[in-house]
Amino acid sequence: MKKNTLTQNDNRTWFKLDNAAKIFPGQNSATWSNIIRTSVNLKENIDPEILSAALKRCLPRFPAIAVQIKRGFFWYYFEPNRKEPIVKPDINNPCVRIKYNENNRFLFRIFYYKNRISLEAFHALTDGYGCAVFLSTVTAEYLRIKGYDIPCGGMVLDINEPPKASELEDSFAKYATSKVKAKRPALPTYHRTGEKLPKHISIMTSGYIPVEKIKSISKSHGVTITEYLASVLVMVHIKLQKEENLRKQKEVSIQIPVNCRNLFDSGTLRNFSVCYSVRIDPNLGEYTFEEILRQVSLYLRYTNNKKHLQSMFAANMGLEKNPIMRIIPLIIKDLAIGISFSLTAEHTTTSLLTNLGKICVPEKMADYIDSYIFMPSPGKVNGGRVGVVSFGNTMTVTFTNIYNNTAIERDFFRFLVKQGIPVKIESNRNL
Amino acid sequence: MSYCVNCGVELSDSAKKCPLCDTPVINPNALNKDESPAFPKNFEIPKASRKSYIAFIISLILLLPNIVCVITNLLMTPHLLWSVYVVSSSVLIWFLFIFPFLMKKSRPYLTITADAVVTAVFIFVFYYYNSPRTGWFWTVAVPIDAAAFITIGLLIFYFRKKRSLLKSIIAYLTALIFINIFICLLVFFVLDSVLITYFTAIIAISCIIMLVFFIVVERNYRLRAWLSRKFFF
Repeated sequence: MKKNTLTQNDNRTWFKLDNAAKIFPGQNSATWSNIIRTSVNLKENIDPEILSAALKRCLPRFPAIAVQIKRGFFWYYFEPNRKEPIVKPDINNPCVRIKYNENNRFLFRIFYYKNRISLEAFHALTDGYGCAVFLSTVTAEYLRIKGYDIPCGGMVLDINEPPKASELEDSFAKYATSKVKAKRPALPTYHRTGEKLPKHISIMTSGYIPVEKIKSISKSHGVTITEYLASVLVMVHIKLQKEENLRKQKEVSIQIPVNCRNLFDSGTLRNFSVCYSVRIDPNLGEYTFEEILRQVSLYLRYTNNKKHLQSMFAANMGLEKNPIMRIIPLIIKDLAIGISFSLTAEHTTTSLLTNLGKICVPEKMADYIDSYIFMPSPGKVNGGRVGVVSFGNTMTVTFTNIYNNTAIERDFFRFLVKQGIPVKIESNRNL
Repeated sequence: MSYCVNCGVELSDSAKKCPLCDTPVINPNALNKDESPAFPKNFEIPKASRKSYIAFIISLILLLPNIVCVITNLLMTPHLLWSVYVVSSSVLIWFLFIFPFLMKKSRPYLTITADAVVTAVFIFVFYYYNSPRTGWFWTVAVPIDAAAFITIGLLIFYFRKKRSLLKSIIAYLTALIFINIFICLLVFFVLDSVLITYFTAIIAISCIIMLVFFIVVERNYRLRAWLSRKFFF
C-alpha cells in the first residue's frame, strides 16, 4: 500500500464532521456508545489473517472511514489515519463504547467469530448504509483473496478506483434548502423500565425470518415491512405499559430513521439519514392491531416526503450554522450536548426501529453469504431498539436491550410466530 | 434443531434455554450438543475515565494561584501574612472536594476524619491571626467541629444499608437535634450567649416534635394506612 494514497486521491488533509455526526462525540459516554453494528454470516469459517489483509486493501477506498477524530478549539474534526487497522476476535458484549485513543485511533472495529465478520462503527463516521457498503466491500475482498471470483456492483465498491468526491460530501448541507425549520417533538414518552444490566453490557437477540413470508403478510394488510414491524413494536409497548397499571398512560413513540439517499440524489458514504417519530397515545382508547397499522402507515406516508425531510435538515443545519453555537468552545459544547441529550433525546422516544433494507451484492458473491445482521446502538433508557436488514430470503430483526428483561423481544417474536411467520432466535445471553 | 415450547421460535443448536423466556430446551434426540454458542463468552469492558486524573489536574490548577499569592506576599509585604488565608482556604476546598476522588477505593471514615482535622486547622488559622485569643477555638470551635463530624460519621455508618424514607427522615432529624442540643448546651455554659441558646433550642424543640410524629408513624402500621387513605392525592 502506498503511504499517501489518501492525499493523492483527495487533497484534503482533514474533514469536518457532517451535520448529523456533530452531536455524537459530545454524547459518547459509558452508557451511550452510539455504535452501530453490522455483521455478515458467511458459509465458511473466517480466517483472521486474510480478513486483516482484505481490510488493509479496502481502507484507502474509504477515506471517510479511515479517519481519526481530533479536538479542535470549536469543533471536532477528522484526520486521515494511516495506521494499521486491527482485526479482533468477537466479544460477548457488542456495541461497547469507543475510546478515541484506543484501537490505533480508528473509530470502527472489525471482529470475527466462527463464520461471522462484524463491523462496529461509531455513528459519527457513517450511518447504516455506509456501514453496509464498507462491510460488503471488505467481505468481497476477503472472498477474492480466498480465491473466489467476485465482481463489483451493488454495495460492493471497486477498490481499485479512486474515491469519488460525492462519497465524501455532507449531503445535509447540500439539501438543507428549506426556509421552514421542522420542530422537534419533545413530549415525555413511555419507557420500559426494570433492572439495568451492568454498564457496557447489553442483550442482543436476533430473529431470522423468511422475507417472502413477512412480505406476503404485510402485503395482505396493505403496508410495507417497516410499517408492519413498527406497528408490532408499538403494539408490544402499549401492551407492556398497560400491564404496569400506571394511573396515566404515556404516549408510545417509535423512532424510524429514513435513508435519505432514496429520495435525494446523493451517493455519500457519510451520515445521510434522519428520524421520524411515529406516536400513538394509548389514553385515547384501546387500539386494535389493525388500527395501529393504519395509524403508523398513514403517518409515515403522509410525512415521508422531500419537503418535510428538507425542513428537518434545515432545523439541524440551523443549529450548526448559528453564530452563537459556532463561537462556543468545544469543551462547553460537549458539556451542553451531554446535558441536553441526557434530558431530551431518548426521553422523547420509546424505542427505535431502523430498517437498513435489502443488501445488494453481486450474484456470484451471494452464494458465499448466509445472512446479514444489523443492530443499532443500545439505548440509554430505551429498552428494545431494533435493527432490521434483509439479504436474499433472510430478514434479520435484532433487538438490543439494556435491561435484564426480554419481555419486548419475547412478545414481538411470539406475535410474529402467531401470525404464521417462522422465527429462528440467536442471542448473546449466557444462559 | 429445537423449538421453544413456550414461544414457538426455532432456537440455535447451542441454546440450552430459550433466550426469550428462559424455558429450558429438552430435546431427547439431540442430547450431545457440541455446537459452540452464537457469541463467545469473553467480555470487553472499556476502562472508566480516571477520576483521579481529573482530580489531579484540578489540584494543579488550584495550586497555581496559591503559589502566586505566597510569592507576592513574601516579596511585597513580608510583615503581613495575608496569603495564609488563601492557602488555608484552598487546602480546605481541596480536602473537602478533591481529596475523595484521588483515592482508588472510597474510604468514608478516613475522609471524614481528614475533613474534621482540616476544618479545625482552617478555623485555627483565623483564630490565630485574626481574633482576640480568648480561647474560643479550644472551648467552642473544636467541640462543635468534632460533634458535627462524629454525627456525619454515625449517619454514614447507619446508611451503609439502604433505609426506608421514614427511617432516613428519623435519622436525619435525630442528627440535627443532637447537634443543636450540643451547641445549645455548649454555648450556654461556655459563652453565656442567650441569643444563640434560644435559637438552637427552638430548632431542637421543633425537630423533636417532628421526630416524635415520624417515630409514631413509622411504628404504627394502622396509622400509616389511615394517613395514606386520608391524604392521597
